[in-house]
Amino acid sequence: MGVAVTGVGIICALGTNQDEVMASFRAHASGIGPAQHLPTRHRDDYVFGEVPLSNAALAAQQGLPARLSRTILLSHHAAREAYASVPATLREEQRVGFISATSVGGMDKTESFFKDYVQASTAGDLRQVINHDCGKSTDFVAEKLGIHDFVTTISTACSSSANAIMLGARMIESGQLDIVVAGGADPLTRFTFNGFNTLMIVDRQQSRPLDASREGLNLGEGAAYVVLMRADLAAASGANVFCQLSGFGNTNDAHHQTALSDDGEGPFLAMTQALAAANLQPADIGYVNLHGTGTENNDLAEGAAIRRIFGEAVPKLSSTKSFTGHTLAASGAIEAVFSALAVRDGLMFPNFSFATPVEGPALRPVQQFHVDTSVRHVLSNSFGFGGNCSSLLFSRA
Amino acid sequence: MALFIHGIGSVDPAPALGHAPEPAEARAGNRLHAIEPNYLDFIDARASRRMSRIVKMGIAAAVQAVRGSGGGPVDGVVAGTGWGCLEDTVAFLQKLVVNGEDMLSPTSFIYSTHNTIAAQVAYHLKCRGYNNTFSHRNISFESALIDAQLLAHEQPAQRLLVGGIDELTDTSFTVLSRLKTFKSQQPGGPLDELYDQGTPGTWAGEGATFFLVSGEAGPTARAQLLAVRTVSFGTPEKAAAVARQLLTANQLTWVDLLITGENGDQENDAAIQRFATDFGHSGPVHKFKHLCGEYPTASAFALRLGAELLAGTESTPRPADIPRTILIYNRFQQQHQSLMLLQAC
Repeated sequence: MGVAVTGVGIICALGTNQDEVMASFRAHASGIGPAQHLPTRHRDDYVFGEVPLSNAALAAQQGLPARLSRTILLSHHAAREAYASVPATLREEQRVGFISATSVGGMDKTESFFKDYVQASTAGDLRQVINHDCGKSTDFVAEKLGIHDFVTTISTACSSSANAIMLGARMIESGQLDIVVAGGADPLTRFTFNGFNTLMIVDRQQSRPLDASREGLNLGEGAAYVVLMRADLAAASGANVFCQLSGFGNTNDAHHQTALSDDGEGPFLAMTQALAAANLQPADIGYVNLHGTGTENNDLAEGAAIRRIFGEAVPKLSSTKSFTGHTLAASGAIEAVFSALAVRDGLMFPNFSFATPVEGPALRPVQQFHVDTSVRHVLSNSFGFGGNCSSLLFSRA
Repeated sequence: MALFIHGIGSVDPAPALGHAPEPAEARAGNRLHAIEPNYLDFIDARASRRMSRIVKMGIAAAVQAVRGSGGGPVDGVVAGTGWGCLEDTVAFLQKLVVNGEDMLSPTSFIYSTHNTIAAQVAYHLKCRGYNNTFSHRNISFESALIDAQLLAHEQPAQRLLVGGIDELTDTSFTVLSRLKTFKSQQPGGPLDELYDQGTPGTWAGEGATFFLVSGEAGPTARAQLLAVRTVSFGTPEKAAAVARQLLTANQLTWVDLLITGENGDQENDAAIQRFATDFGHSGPVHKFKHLCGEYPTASAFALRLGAELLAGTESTPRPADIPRTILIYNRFQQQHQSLMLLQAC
């Protein structure tokens, strides 16, 4: 049947919509810098990929109350941009789903609640903690957008929104839905920042994925959604088709709760499945948007998997996390947006900086933002805690 | 797109469904707690020491489901959890708030993510196949079932573990109590006193229930799930209309038994009455939340109840009082509604 990508919405450290984000790439301006809004005492010691707006400013842009969780404010911002591409007639006549993803839910609000709660179990503002569960933000945004035929939330750590996009495509292919807004959102929180920091995988400087000098990731935040549409409906309705979602793979590395296996078996299987689903060969791939967190373990394992699949003939590849930071559950969808644009417009996204390849995989990323219209097929990788590995494959329509 | 249930495993407040647990055994005030097995029957001692309670509950239920199916490899794991790994989440949050952002250890953070249960099940079974976790309030388990149903449709021979898991902790009980989720009066009588009190609130519950399912029938199949649907932001009457469509689509005109998710809260239960009236069911109705309490994935307990009732006899001809078709309808407060249609094999 085929599933087309017909709309995108994005908010991250690079900008609050698709145009702003692309302008940042064209100017080679990364979003990594000191945090202005995350209330961490490590603010001066680390850099972040923070969305440069306060909750109040984010809320005002959307006509929403500022007391909402940052997860909701980011999710609604990007989902609204994506869904604006769907005309009212299709919204009314077709079966539409909203599949979102988050790893921390309303943790930003729960942190505030807990500060008082630990003093006395009768203390703490309940209006904060009601945001805690992952489904809260999804339901809020679905109701605002008027989507009700199917609504759910996926939470598989850093691969969450790639899995949301995958499920959306499968529900369209099986005939259960016609249009799905799929993606995810995660805000910066002290919970996640300190969690990654205790693992000693946060770089104090801007992250350098694939570079021998890499020392870890930068934490980021954001949200992104793609509109997936039944391909025949997209054609019949004259939708602006970015690309097809031609394949996907979901596997578990089953090796370790927080580290990938040395040979990258989970990533290898996910990419292999995606290629097989699309009936493509490795040589067909023109660009890979890597998971590329910049940790020692990720770059070795993902690099090993890339070498196992592509051998010496490695396609153009890069990690955009050196521009956005690692946006956790949002990263799969943010990078799906980049991948869709890479297919449609031939945009080749660079690493922010690169000097020396990592010994072993020895991958060399794209270093300049440029256009390569020969690219027909793009792979996007997302891996997470718990060994969850997902790959999405986007192809020219 | 029928999904055949080949094995069931559960760690919940009512381990032996045939006879309801003694109230004193499973209930403490307004809380029903899971009666836990000896985990060493499922997990080796060294691995077990590192695991949080919810992960142990999940692995024990998953292993029981695999054993119940006669053993064999597992091709994928799909889980639903509304609350996630609360114990580790609260542990890390507490240290963060009390100690400030220093002197933290990573262990509880590492195991705090919602996908930890499905991930640890996959790790335990060395399953490198499909792996997914849903966390969407009271339809977390139904979302996982929908995903499993798609997988079975795509490759019917796959053997999949699909489950619903939620734990209750002191912190979540305290916070949910302050949100007036539970009844204010303390129970003292039999478990079914949960119902018909005409008061707001319910009892807290928890449980981990896994099913070994596939798209193929075979000799081990105990029941088949004909359909699963969620109804978001709709009335009970809309859910009843969807239920009638599901029956029609499966060439049924009625079901032998309706299983419903009354939880003792007068508003919640009145909405279920509206559903039952509009759906027009005239046969018997079973309730289940007096056995497991209220939690986001309590519908997994209901599916266990339904599947075990359908599989209840091996005698032929089948006794007339054993149902052949069951519809499960669940809801919680103003959140989502769900429907599961089951048939005997």
